[in-house]
Amino acid sequence: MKYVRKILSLLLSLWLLLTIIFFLQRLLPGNPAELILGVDASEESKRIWLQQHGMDLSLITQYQNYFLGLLKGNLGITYFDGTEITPLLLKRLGVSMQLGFFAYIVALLGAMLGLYFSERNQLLKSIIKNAAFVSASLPGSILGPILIWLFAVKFQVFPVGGMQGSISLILPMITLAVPLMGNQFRYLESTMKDISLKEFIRVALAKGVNEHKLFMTHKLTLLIYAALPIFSLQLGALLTGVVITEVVFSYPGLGTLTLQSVLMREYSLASACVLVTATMYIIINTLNDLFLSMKDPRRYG
Amino acid sequence: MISIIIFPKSHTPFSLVVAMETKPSTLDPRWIGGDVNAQYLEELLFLPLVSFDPQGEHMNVIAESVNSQDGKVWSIKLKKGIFFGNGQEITSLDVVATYNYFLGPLAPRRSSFKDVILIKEINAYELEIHLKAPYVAFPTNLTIGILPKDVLVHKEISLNGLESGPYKAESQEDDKWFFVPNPQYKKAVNPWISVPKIPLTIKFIPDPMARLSVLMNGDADLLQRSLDMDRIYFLQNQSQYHLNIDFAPSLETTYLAFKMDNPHVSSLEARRKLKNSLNIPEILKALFHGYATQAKGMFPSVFPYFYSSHEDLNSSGFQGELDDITLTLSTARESQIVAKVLQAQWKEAGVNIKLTVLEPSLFQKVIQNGGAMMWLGSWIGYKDPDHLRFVFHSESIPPFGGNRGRFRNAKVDKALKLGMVSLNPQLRKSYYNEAQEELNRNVPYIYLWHRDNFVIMSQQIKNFQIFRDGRYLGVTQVEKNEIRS
Repeated sequence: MKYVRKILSLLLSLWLLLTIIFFLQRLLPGNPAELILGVDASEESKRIWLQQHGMDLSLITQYQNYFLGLLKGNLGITYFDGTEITPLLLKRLGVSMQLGFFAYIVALLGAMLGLYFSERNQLLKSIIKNAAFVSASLPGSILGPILIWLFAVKFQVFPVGGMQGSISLILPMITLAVPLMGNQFRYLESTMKDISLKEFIRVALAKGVNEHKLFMTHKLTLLIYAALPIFSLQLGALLTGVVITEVVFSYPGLGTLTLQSVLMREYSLASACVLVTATMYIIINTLNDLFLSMKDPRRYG
Repeated sequence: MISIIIFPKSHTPFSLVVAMETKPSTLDPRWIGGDVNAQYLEELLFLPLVSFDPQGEHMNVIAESVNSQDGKVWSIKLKKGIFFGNGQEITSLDVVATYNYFLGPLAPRRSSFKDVILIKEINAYELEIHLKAPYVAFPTNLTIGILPKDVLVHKEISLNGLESGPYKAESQEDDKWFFVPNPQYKKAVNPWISVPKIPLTIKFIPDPMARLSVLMNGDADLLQRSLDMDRIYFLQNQSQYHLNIDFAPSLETTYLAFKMDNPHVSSLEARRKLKNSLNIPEILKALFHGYATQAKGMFPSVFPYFYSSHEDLNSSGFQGELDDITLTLSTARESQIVAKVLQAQWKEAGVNIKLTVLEPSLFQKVIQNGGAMMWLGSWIGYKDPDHLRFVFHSESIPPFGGNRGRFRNAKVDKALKLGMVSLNPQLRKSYYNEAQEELNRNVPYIYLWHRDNFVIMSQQIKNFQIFRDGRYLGVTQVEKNEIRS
C-alpha cells in the first residue's frame, strides 16, 4: 500500500509541475507566431497561425488537448520546422545522461577517496578539506572557461566543446564533477565524524580492529545510508548544472535544448524538456525513498 | 570505455570552419523568418534573385536585371543556365511559385511582399511583379532563396539535394552543420559568389569564451561579429595564436530611442539635455577601443544617404529637473555595460536614470507595445534609406512597422513618402536629407555610434571578403592551407 501511495504522490507531483509550467509559459509576453512570422506580420496572419496550432482556443481547452496528447505519448512537433519532439528529446537526453552519469561517478569516487585518505593523515586531511572547500565553491560558469583555457587553448589536449568523440566528454564532465565532489566530501566528512563517535565503532577500535577493515565494513555502510538522501537531492542539482555546463561547452544535450526552446517560445518542446527532467528528478527521489524504507522500515512506519 | 562505445568519434573534415553564436532554427527557406544568420546561410544554399555586395549595394544574383518605369510594376529578367541540385534549370515559373508561396498568410517573411498584388510569368526567363503603390526600394525584398516549384506544391518534399547555391547541406548535427561545394554550381553567378574550393563547417558555440578559445586553439578558422570588443582587443596583442583581425565599416546604428508621448521625455528640451549630457567619444575610446564611429544620424558616412545636420543643437535650454526617467535594455552583455556607462555620465550631469533590464523577447515585446520610456537598441543591416520610413513614419507605428517611439511629424511623413516613390536618385536624396534634418531637430533618437564589423581569421585562410552587413558570401572565395603556420 505504501508503494502505491508513493507512486500516486509521484504522479501528482508530475501533474502539478506540468500544469504550472504550461500556464507559466503562456503568461510570458510574446508568442511563437510573432517569432516565426515576425513582429511586423499582420494580425490576420498571426491569428491564422495560432488557429492552425490550436493556440486560439481557451487556455483550459489547450490544457486539455495537451494532456490528452501526453497520455497518448504524443509530445507534439516543433513550431519552427515541424520536427517530431520525442526522437529529438531522446537523443539529447541520452547525451545529457551520459554526461551527468560520468560526472556523478567521478565526483562520488573522488569524494570517497578523499575521505579515505583524510582518515589516514592529519596533514592530508587538512589539504583535502581545503581543496574540497574550494572545489565546492567553484561554479561551472567559472570552472568551465578556466578548463577550456588551460586544456583546450594552452595545452591543446582536449577540444573546446561540441561533440568530437568521447574526448569531448572529459572537460564538461570535470566541470560538473568538481563542485559536486567538494560538496559530497564535505557532507561525507561531517557524517563520518558522527559515525566515528558511535559507541560500537569506539568499542571496535578499543578491541584493536584494523582501521582499514573498520572503514570498509562498518563505517562505509552507515555512511551510505546516511548519505543517500542527500546524494539523490544532489542529482537534482546536477541536472541544473548540466544546463550551464552544456552551454559553456556547446554540448548538444538536454540542457541546451531546454534553453533554446524557452528562448524560442517552443512551448511543447520546453514542456517536454521540463517533463523529462522533472520525471527523472522525482523518480530518483522516489527510488531513494523506497530503497531506504525497505532497509529501514522505521521511516514509513 | 562506455563513452567510447556510445559516442562515435566525429572528426571535422578538412574545411573552412566558421564559429557562430546561435544556431539558426532552420535552413529551409520555407520556414526561415527574421533570423539574420539563417537568411545569410540560406543564400549559400539557395540563390536569391538579388543580394548585396561587400559595400551593401544591390547586386543581381539569379536576376539579370530588375527594372521599373514607375516603381509600381517591376520587370525582372533571369540569367540563363542556373540550375537546382536536381539538374532542373531555374526559370520564372520557380520564381513565381516561390514568391506566391510567400504571399500566403502563414509564410514567415510575408511582410516583405505585403504590397504585391500580382506576380506574372512573361516567359521562361522574364516575370513581372505588380505592387499596390510605387515602391522604389522593393528590390531589397527579393533576397529570398528561390525554390523549385514542385517543393512549394508538395511541402513535405525535403530540400536536400535541390540546392542551387555554391554549397549543398551534407549533414546537420546538433552542434555543427557541414556544407560541401555544390557540383551543380559550376560557374560563379556574380563576382562575389564564387565556386567554393573547400567544404564549409559551421560550429555553434553560444559561450563567448568558448568562441574565443576555438579560434585560439585552431578548432575554428573564422568568426564574424559575435565577440565583444574587449576580447578582440586582447586578441590583437596575442601573436602566438596566428590570427588576423580585419575591420570594416558596418551598416549598424546603436541608438537611444524615446517614446515621444511619454510625459517625462515628451519635451524637446529634455531630450536635448539627455543628448548633450553624453560624452560619446569617451565611450568609444574606453569600450570599443576606437572600433566604432560616433553617429551623426541614422546612417554611417559610408552609406550613400548619410546626412549630418548643419544646425547647432548644443544648447538644450532645459531649465527644470529631469527625474523618474528609466532606460530599458535587453540582457545582452554589451548593452548592460553601455547602459551603466550612460547612467554614470548622466549622473555627472545631474540626471538620475533608472535601468530596467529585460530578457530579449520580453524587451522586444515591451518596446513594441510602447511600454518603455527610453530604450537602448540597434538597427543592423539596412540597405536603403526607406529604412527611415519603417522607423519614423506615422504609418509605421506598431503593429505595422518599427516606429516604436510613436513619432509623428507631418514634414517627415511627407518627405519619406516622396523618397519611397521617387525614381530620380538626386531628388530622392534631397527628400531623405530633408527628413533627416527634421528628425535631427526633433531628437526622437539619440544616435550613439556605428560599430565596425570585424572578422577574426586563422592565418591558414586567405581571400575572405568582409561584407558590411555581416553576410557570409565571402566564404565562397576562401582558400585554406592544410598546415597551420
